[in-house]
Amino acid sequence: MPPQFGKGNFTVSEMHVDGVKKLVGMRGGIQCVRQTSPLTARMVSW
Amino acid sequence: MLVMGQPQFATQDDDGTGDGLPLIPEWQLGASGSHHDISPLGSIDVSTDVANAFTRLRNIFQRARDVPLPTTRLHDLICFVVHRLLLQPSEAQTCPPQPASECLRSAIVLYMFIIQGPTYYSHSVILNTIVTRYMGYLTQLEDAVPIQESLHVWLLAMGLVASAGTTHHQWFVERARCLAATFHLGVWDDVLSHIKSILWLEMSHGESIFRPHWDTVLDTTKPPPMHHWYPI
Repeated sequence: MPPQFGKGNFTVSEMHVDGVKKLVGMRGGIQCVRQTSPLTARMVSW
Repeated sequence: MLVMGQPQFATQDDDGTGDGLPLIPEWQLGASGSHHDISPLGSIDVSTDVANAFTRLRNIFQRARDVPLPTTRLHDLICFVVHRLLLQPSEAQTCPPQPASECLRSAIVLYMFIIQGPTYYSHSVILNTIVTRYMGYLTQLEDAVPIQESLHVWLLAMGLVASAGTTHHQWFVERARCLAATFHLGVWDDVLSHIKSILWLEMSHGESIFRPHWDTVLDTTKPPPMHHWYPI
């Protein structure tokens, strides 16, 4: 995701972000992700 | 958030409920219900959500002088506060933004980014966006009401650091020079005492982030610019 954003590929970046949000939702929300993988939850939040 | 320029997740509420970014335990310590002590801000009127964040942060940072926050705890606090403040409460979307609230909101967010520094990705883009908005709100606030001295110093201090290396920086430098002349700020310690009275987290490198900019501002070899909000 950061390389796409850095290249100005905002549409692709937006797709990545939407995908991440869906994955987080499928995992039960950011709190659930945090319980199993705190580092992932922290990175995803930013 | 850094990529999209706005939060992508909600935050928990002040009771720690809800499915969003969690608060840290310290957020609830020293909370005083619906009363928010914003007396350090002088007479400006700020919205409830901004006053809430300001008061709680102040309590947390004052407590951290005796019990420093662990690195991960500080990281989580910053992430939470930035999300909380950039996620506008629903009532704010039906009312026009108030300069005082939005100025303080932006300044607190800038301070959070300053403390945190770059994380997993660069925050320069979102920082620049917030700085640009901040300049507008600060101008409106300066035009509207007299700003309490310490608060004004703190507001400009945040802008100086956040705008470093950008085309906006000189805007803050000139305003800070005018303020320094008006309030007879001669040395860094004068500035620091003002900043600390508003909102300040003691860190080993905290002063070194802010001081170089004020050393430039306080360089008396350069005359201060005139500005309309404080007659000299």
